[in-house]
Amino acid sequence: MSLDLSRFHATFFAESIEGLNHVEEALLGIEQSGHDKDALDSIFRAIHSMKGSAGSLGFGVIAELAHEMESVLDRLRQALMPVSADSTNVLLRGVDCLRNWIFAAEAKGPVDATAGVGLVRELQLLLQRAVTSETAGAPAGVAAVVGGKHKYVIVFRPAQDFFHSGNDPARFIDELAQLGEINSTVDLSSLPGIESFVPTTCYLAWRITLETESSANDIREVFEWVSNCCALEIEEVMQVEPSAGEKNAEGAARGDVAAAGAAGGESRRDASLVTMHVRTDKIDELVNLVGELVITHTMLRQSTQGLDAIKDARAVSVFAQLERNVQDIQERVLSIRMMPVNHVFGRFPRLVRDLGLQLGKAIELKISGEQAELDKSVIEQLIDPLTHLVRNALDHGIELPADRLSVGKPAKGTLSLHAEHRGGRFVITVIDDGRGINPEMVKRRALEIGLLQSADNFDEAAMYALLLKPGFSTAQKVSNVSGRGVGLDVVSENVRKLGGSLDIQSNQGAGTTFTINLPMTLAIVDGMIVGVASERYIIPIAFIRECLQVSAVQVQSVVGQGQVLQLRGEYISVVKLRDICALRGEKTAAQPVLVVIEAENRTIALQVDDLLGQDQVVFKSLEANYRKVEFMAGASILGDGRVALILDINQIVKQHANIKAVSRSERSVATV
Amino acid sequence: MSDIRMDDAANAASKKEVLSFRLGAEEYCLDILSVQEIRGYDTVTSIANTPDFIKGVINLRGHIVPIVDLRIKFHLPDVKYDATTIVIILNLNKKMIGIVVDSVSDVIAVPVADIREAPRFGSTINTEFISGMATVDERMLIMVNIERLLSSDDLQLIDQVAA
Repeated sequence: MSLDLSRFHATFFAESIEGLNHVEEALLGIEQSGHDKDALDSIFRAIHSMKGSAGSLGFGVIAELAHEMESVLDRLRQALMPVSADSTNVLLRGVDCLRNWIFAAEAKGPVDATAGVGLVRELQLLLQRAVTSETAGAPAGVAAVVGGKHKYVIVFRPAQDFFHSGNDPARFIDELAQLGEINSTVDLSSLPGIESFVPTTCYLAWRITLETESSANDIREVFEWVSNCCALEIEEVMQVEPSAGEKNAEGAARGDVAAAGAAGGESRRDASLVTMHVRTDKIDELVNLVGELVITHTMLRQSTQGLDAIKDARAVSVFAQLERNVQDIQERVLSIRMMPVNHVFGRFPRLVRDLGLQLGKAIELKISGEQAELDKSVIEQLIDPLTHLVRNALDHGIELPADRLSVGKPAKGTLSLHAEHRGGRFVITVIDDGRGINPEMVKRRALEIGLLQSADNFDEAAMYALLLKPGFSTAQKVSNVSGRGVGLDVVSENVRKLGGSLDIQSNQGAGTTFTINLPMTLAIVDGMIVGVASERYIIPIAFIRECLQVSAVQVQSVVGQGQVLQLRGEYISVVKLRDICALRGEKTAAQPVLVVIEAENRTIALQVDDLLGQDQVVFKSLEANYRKVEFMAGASILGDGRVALILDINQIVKQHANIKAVSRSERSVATV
Repeated sequence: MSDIRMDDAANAASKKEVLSFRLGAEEYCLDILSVQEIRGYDTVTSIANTPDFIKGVINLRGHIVPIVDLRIKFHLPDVKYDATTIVIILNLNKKMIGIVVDSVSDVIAVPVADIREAPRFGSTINTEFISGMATVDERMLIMVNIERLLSSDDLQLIDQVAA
């Protein structure tokens, strides 16, 4: 049995985590916007379906906490209880607790049920407060019973000759309704077919849930009159499940097939239709296979080029169709692994809110570019470094409201997270408008802990380098937020592992900007394929400003500076790709092409022999089997199955600037 | 030597399967378990600013795999590329590397007991990279520790930063 169920565990974990993330996001949204029925409904549904699954898979603890959260949520969504910071706090902690349990269960570790006890109590307290304020004047003595109410499930099954004695079941149900809130379902199971139906016979039974302050005896009293001609079961359920929505909830928890089918089952089915969880290595295999398919297709095309358009009309049209299909498949498959970076950013509103409260700082979080897509594996590994940077900014960067006001800044600090594709790279910036980094403090601290031997030669670059050294922290005191000296060095290390770099820019008093520059493994690059000698290279289109045919008029040689392109009054230095790639062999094409590229705020013109076309190419890392190659960002496989290298434009531009600087200084030496 | 023994510690009586290949006049062999496949030499995409024995990279079913020509590395004469040029694709520590050799002969089962430590002698490959020697059917085989050879500094196959 347990083996049977474990098949569903993985799905349950994944769905639950997804659901909890959604709940968290929605809760934070509500905190901002106040009561929002749709959002609350969706939260309720998520928690509800989680409760249902947890219950049926034997995660009792999870189901129990989810149940209590659901009760509170139900009141909230019906506006029977105001949305308050209190309720949001408890619910958010509930989300955390559920998440922890799910992670623990996923890792097959022990689930710490005690963590939930306090939360369950708090949730019940919330409810109780709401209920007491609602039914003002309820006897104080019943406070011991949760919410001051009892809840009963009554099964009322009149005998077949019930009508014969002149009774009407509806009357009793009405009378029950006087005692409190009821909810009833009719059991039609004993209803015969129309041919044997006797109108004077009672075939019906009712299952009624009743919430009341009355006791079981009071209920029995209602049915006293018919006690001899009906079957009556009264069962007290301990929790209070207020009003509507309860039918579903109760149904799922108690395994009532009819009710669960109506609500819990449906929402669960929806979720599984929208997403499916697939192992990443399966997708990787698929990506590689599709690459093979494309290449095979190209080879097939080359070997069938002699087909006659009229004689082999059918083959030609089938071929065209195959080509379209192959392209479609390639596009779809490649997009599978890409995920919006929102998967990381999405966790920060919560973090910033909680930390802000804890630190007593008012912070506005601005997120932009969260739809930019990045490979899933990279996204996952970004979580830690980014979390670190955000915590850092909140703790060290942004000042307390009073301090901010005193230096003429708005009391509310701003933290911006931005993501974008910049050429072949993925760039994330974390910007705060806090106090910035104090060079004096960094210097003093570095001298203190011996990271710096002397204060000479201490400039901005040296300061940033120090910040990234292990064990460096300028935090005044160690808090549990940050400042334990494990900081930026870890971030920088993590980013470097992803093949990226971390840059710091700080203006004292105005804020700090951290820039994470990442390669996009497996990202798709829009590239211009250029030919130089017999080789082909790919230039990411994003860097390209324009391409032009060289005419003698525009390009002039400047002594000691190489060639310069004069373009609409602008002078742009010309770099020959042939030189960069150390290509020997064939002579330069008669009509070389200049590709004007922009990167690192500089513009250069790259001279190539030929433009071969434009294509979406799959970025492949050279480091996977080899190592980083100078001036190359990666490689890709072109349609004919051969490898073409993707140029690292940033590095080319940087390097060129250096060469120029060197050659200029050499020249000045020479002239002296 | 040591790693060969370790491999066979579990079943000491067993034989070790090796792939033998020719490099110049000598016959070398490497552990068959590190060989992924053997294929013909195909057009490679050259990489700028690399030593000449690194021929470039190829597309191996979607993977970008570097190709090292051991013939150039060990300064053998007549390096030519034709239909019979062989590339051995190795899988070492989940990294794929292709090596070009003169020819591949066969797969030989060498009794572990017959493997002897290599004497210091002048072979094409530095003795540092030779893990042992064995004689099977009158043929003298030189066992190459291909992993150590390919990860040596002068080959620059692995990022200096990562190493």
